[in-house]
Amino acid sequence: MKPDLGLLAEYAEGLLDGTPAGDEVARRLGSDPAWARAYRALAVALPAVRADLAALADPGPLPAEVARRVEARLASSPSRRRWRWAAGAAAAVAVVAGVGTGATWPSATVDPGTSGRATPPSRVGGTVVTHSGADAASAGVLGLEASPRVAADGGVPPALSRLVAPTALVACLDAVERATSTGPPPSVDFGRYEGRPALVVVLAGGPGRTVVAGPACGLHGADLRARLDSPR
Amino acid sequence: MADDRALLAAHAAGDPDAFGTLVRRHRDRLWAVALRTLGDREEAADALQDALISAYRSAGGFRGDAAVTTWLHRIVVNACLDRVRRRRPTVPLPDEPAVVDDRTDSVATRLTVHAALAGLPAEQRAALVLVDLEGMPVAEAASVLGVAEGTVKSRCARGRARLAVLLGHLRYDGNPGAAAPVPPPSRRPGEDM
Repeated sequence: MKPDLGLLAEYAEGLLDGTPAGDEVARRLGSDPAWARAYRALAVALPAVRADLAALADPGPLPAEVARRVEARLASSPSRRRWRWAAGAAAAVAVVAGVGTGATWPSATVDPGTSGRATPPSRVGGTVVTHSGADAASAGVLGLEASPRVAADGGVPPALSRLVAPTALVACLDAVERATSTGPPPSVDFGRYEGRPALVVVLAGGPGRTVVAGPACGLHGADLRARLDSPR
Repeated sequence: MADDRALLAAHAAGDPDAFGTLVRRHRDRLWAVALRTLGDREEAADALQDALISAYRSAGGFRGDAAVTTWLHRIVVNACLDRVRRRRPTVPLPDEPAVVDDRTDSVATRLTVHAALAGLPAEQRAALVLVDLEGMPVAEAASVLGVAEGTVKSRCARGRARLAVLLGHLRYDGNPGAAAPVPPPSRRPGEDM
């Protein structure tokens, strides 16, 4: 009988002590050189395995982009309405004027996708692009950003289809950056605001700074419709 | 500050903010478990979504026979294992270790730890993630996985032994009847597994 790695592993960690299986392994270790050799090799290898596992880097905190996807999914859950989820407890809103133009954003490919759930986020420059179809007008579950969602239905609304093109989206994000005097946004979502198709842009500078851009974003300025401040 | 049980009860009673507070409290650890169990960021994100939605909907059924964190971990791990089982079968591993590979520093002949974990059977991987990587006590891991403590210990022991092979700390000196484990990216010429 060939050495059984699983049995030897359990034996090495004392899991077979006092059992018939343990007695059998002990007998083979005393009589079968192959079993004894395998056991010695395993005993040397296991500390190295533990060291490898201990050295594995921590994954870090839940990424904001993943949190937003979860929020969008939860927001689209029918039970959300049943539980009177935070609808209406939304962020303070102030309309801001869209000014400025420009198209200096780094170019990249953008996958238009059809929904935030089914389509992995893509990137344009350093900005994560998602397509949740969710409405940004109420508070979210995980509270990472000031762009929580409700009533997500997925998909890119026709009104925003122009912005699926990388060049158009680059121009839009550049206009947003200029209009808000901020750096490259960390993320943009093809969503809605108060029921209307809109780009929800999280601004650079930390959570809680989000603006809503309309379908004309990038044509003659950023077409900003609202600024959402974190409810926290 | 409300404890986890109070938050879950409040959520079940209709408090619109309680579930978010609870999730914010534990999300990073749940993410770590999902990511390490699945080894793929997108899959982990999807699994975590599925799990949190399941937890959100089933909070009213929480019986209180375990800690809320254990309950949350159980839901996340089950969501991950469901995905692993749907993804692909595990490659069988030969069962005859031979000698210690004394040249284990060679990157070319080793799998990364992440890749090696991915080569384990799902149940062994989940046990190792909880116990060895997350530092969870065996008793709690047993509750999360829904098995006896001895089963967790056995899965961990067998998983570590398989990792020893996959990571190059233990190698085989030829076993024609056994299937090869998940192969390393490359192998030294003439060297058998």
